[in-house]
Formats: sequence, C-alpha cells, structure tokens
Amino acid sequence: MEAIKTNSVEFIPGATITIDDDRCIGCKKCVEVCPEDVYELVRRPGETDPNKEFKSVAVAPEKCILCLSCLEICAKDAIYIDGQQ
Amino acid sequence: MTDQIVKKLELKYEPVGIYLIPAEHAERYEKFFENFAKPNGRLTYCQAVDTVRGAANYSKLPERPDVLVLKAKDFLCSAGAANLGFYNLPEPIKNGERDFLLRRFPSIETSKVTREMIPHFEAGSTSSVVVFKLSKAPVDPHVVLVFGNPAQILSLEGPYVMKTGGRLEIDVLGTCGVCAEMTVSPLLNRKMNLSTLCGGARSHAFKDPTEMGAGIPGIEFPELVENLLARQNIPKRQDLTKELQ
Repeated sequence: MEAIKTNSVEFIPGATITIDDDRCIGCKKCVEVCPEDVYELVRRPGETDPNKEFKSVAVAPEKCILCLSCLEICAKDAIYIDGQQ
Repeated sequence: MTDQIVKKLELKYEPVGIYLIPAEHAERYEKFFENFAKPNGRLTYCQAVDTVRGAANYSKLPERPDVLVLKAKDFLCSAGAANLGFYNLPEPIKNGERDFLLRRFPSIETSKVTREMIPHFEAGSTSSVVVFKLSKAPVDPHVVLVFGNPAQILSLEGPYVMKTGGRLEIDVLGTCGVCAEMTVSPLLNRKMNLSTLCGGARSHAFKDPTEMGAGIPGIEFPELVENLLARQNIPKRQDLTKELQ
C-alpha cells in the first residue's frame, strides 16, 4: 500500500489493521482515541462473560492516518497495524 | 572514530548515522544507494534506527541490515515521516485533535500550538532517508545519533563546548524524540541536541528505560570525538605550575 502518491506531499491514509479478539476486552479506548473513527465497538454474539461482551472492530482501516494512538492506548496489546503492535 | 567513542563511553551500541536525500535531484542520490537494503514492510523511524544499531530487527528482512534506505511508503508512523520532510502531517495531528484525544493537553489549542513547535522539515523536501550503523557508513552522515545512559550522554556535553566554552540549550519536549529532537533539530539549529526520547520510541523500539540520546550534526561529530579523547591530555594543575615557573 502506497502511503503517498508520486509527487504528492499529502499523506494518503490507509493501513492493514488486525485486532486480536482473544486479547480485546472491549474497553472502548481505541474507539475514543482514534481521530478518524476507524474503530467501532460491537457486541460479541452469544458471549455470556460480561467482561467480554463487546469487542473493537476496525470498520474503516482505509481512514487510518498512522498516528498510532490506538497502539499507545491499548492496554492489552490487542491491535496490530501492518503486522506491528 | 566509531571504535574510539564506543570504547571511551563504553556504549552498548555504536552510534547511528543519518543521511537525508532531498527531493530535488533525488534520482542522482538514490542511484548511489540502490543496492542497500530496503525494509520489507512498514516500520517507524525509531525502529529503523534501533534495527541498524543492532538492538532488534524490525525490517522484516531475514538478516538484520546495517544500512536501511527508507522511502515515504515505508513509514509506519506518519508524524515521524512528516517531521523528516516526506509529507504534510495528517490533519488531525496537525490541528491538535490527536494529542488532545490522547489526553495530553487540556485543549485542542494547546495541543495545536505544541505540535507546530516540533522541529520539522518542509513537506515534500525529503525523498529518502538512509539510516546506518556508523562503522558501516556509506557516506558522511548529516546527523549522528548517540544513545546511552545519562552518564554516557553527560560525557558528550563538556567536550562539545570544550574549545568555545558556554552552555548547551536543549530543544526537547519528549514528543517525536528520535525523529524531531535528535534528527531534525540538530540540522535546523546546527548544534547538538539531547533527547529523553518519546513515548512512541520507547513503546515501539527503545526498550531500555535508562537510555537517552544525543543528535550531533555530522560536521561537528569528528571534533566532538577529538575533544572527548583530548580531555585526558589536558595538562594537570601541577604541570601548569611548572610551566608558569
């Protein structure tokens, strides 16, 4: 994925974002901290554990500006951007 | 020279050299570096520095390279790439929203003003950055990065002003430590700068909390090492007395 266009000085957003479902506790911090609304909290279907009722999903990775706030805020190291935590 | 500073300061890792290829006439410069390693995936600037110095390998290459050539597309951290002159900061970082959302500042205004003050090159002015272990330098570096504990970095301060005397004024915030404070600031201000690194650098690469860094303009580095080594040859007080007699 090209971060910038040739001869452009404007950053082109977009990244490959993976969330480790087993680690994510649905704390919503990544949702709150992301300036581009890349993440949303969704209910885990059939989940009975109240501590794991929700999980974060990267619904708009094409909007990621690589500010890495989500990596900084995630206490569970559940987020990977382009393969990196 | 690398051996001398490593030995004298007992550095764990040798210094790292940085060479910035300007966008203007980039092809001329890049041709020279075409056979050097490029990362096999995105990484942050501080990870590239940590990779070539030998602390880790974030390049996704099977063998850790001593020299890495980074283009805009290789950067995982947009702020680092923007500071180094690859492109404009994404708007939410530029306007202060991102740092405000991270609860770093009580208002977007404070956040924006602070962001504007971080040393950075003009967007689009840089085409590539070459990061290399100093002993493997393919060219004279524009900046030399030295990492060590506070006592080791302290050992650079006196020798830096040894001949002129004076004080060191440090340009630091603890944000964009390796890119802005250690690389851009020494070039813009033409003097050594110290950094306690930043949260990003410590989170993504530099895992030793006792480490800090100094960025030295490449042109000043040989004299700094010379001064560092010359200190042991400064006459003792007793010798001065004899000379005065």
